[in-house]
Amino acid sequence: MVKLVVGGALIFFSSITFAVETSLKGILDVHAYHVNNTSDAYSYLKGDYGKFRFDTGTGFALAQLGIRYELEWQNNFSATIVGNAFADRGNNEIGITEAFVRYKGLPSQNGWRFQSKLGVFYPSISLENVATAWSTPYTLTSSSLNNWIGEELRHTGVNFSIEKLGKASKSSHSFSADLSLFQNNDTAGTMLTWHGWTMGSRQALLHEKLVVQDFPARDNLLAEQAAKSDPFIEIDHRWGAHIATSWRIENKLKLNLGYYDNMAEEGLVEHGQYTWATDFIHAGLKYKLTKQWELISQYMKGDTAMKSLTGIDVVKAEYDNMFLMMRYQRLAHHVAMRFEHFNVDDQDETIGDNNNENGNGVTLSYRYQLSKKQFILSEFNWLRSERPSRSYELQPVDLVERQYQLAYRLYF
Amino acid sequence: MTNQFEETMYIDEISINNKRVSFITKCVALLGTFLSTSSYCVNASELTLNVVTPSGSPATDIVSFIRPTKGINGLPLNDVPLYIGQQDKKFAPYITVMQKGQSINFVNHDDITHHIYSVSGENRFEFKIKAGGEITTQPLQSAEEVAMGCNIHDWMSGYVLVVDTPYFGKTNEDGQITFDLPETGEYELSLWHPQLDVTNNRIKQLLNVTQANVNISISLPQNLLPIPEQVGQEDFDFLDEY
Repeated sequence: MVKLVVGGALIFFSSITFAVETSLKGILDVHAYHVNNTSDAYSYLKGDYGKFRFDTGTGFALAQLGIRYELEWQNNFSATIVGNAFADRGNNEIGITEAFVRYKGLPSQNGWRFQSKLGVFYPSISLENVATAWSTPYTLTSSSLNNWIGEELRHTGVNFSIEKLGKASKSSHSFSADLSLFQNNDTAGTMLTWHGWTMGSRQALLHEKLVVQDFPARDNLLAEQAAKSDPFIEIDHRWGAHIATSWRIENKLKLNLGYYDNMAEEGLVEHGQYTWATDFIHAGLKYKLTKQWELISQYMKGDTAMKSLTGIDVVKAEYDNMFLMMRYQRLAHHVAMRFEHFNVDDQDETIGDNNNENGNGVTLSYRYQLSKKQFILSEFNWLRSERPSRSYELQPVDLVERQYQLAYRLYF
Repeated sequence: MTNQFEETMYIDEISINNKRVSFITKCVALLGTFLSTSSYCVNASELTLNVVTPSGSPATDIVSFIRPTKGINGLPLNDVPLYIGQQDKKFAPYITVMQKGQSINFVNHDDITHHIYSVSGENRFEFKIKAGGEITTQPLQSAEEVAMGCNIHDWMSGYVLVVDTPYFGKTNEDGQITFDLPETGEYELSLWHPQLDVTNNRIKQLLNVTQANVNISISLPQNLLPIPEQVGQEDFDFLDEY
């Protein structure tokens, strides 16, 4: 699908003789880190129950090398490809995270503007990951809510967006409504259920497969499940839908509300990949309290479920997540404080697959701007989570994790 | 602002008996003949306008223009392009005024591309302007408000008022503007500001200018609405819009 979309776009544009402009933007983010937790658990990325991307211990990592390459035509069409590389002690990956063609029309006299995207792109949910290559400029780690979006959600399809810009009628209020129809997201919810919420700065690449935790049900009822989950696969050939709306008041307030449903048909499995019916509502608020203080908050609540080929409800879970961030900026200094709370509520009867979870996290982050595009950041994350499935690995159910990071970041 | 017209307005040559004589010479020549009917004498007049807010403080950057009620035939045209910069992701200046037939010369002083547009009325244009770039529009032919924006940075907005008279400008920090009118007579004075919350954002007043020096003070019917802050919600303009 990705190749088809990008290939089709290139053929389309090669036949157009408009002047084309190219632009290259990127982010380089290198971290020194120290992680400790009360059970020496490895990172969720290695199939364990640690909630950070880095394993216990001290190390250096290429946290992100992100590149965004864009071709822009004079007729309001553009083509964008975003690549990312991550390197940390044996967890090294390089690949594509997004590739799409976009049309962005001019506003009408009354302030109506139409936009459309075709390809693979992030759903409009995160209020943190607003910078180059889906990085967050506020902290070194995304909240657990948005870290899940980076891991398991990507729209492969088409997006239509209609906006009403208030300034055309000298109003402070602007509105937008956004509809995406997508495929390749039939397994969304797998990792959220089986390793729970996680906090970090690692995005899944389009080619990447994610290590599934080892739990007893995988030896019997879930024996069919592959060792790695493919987050961007189409199994049931049904379209999912995502609606996102927003309300803005100038540069003071942004309020988002949306609903995601991958519309998966339960009970299908292909190469060890099951269909997961996943839906959720999401809300987000970005509010500038004063020139220096801003509040960012997001909330999400939803369900996920998968059935065996024989129609048994193998996994059924409800989940919710909320974070609240206050950030303060003055001259070159920026401080962010984030509090988050998350839950997964297991509602099935499957033995050896307890997916209950609840946890709280605190993040303190300080950023210093060295020059226009260079930053030094330091950050402390504290995360406490209760997860009964840890007992399958003979780890304590109740885990406290701490992460210290020092980073150099360059946007180019 | 009136400097660019000063010369034209005072010289304002006309033709009498195949000889071109200056406007002042003509005035002196006519003075003897029509001494008793001074209304026929075309005297230059300096008109000073003071605009104040309802609370009495100076109202700055109020676009003011004066149009002779008998029409503008024969009055000078200004064909020097009007400069509008893009600086710190803002239109600089936020408000400008120009005469019908002038072009706008946009100069991008930022290190990023802007996508400037005007999508209302007859004076429409749209182009991308690269960092350090410069683009001049076609002459604008319709006397009306031009609301400009940037399709990349939605918070950017700027206004130009195109007027059908050579006598225009903006009030200074003291809320003052001076017009050098070539002759006494009847004029229509208009004040305009995009944040003046009245019909068409303007107020009008008829003036009968009979003296060489005229001072007029006008109080706005209400305070201006706040000008929207020309800043995005994010800290850095180089961030992508997700």
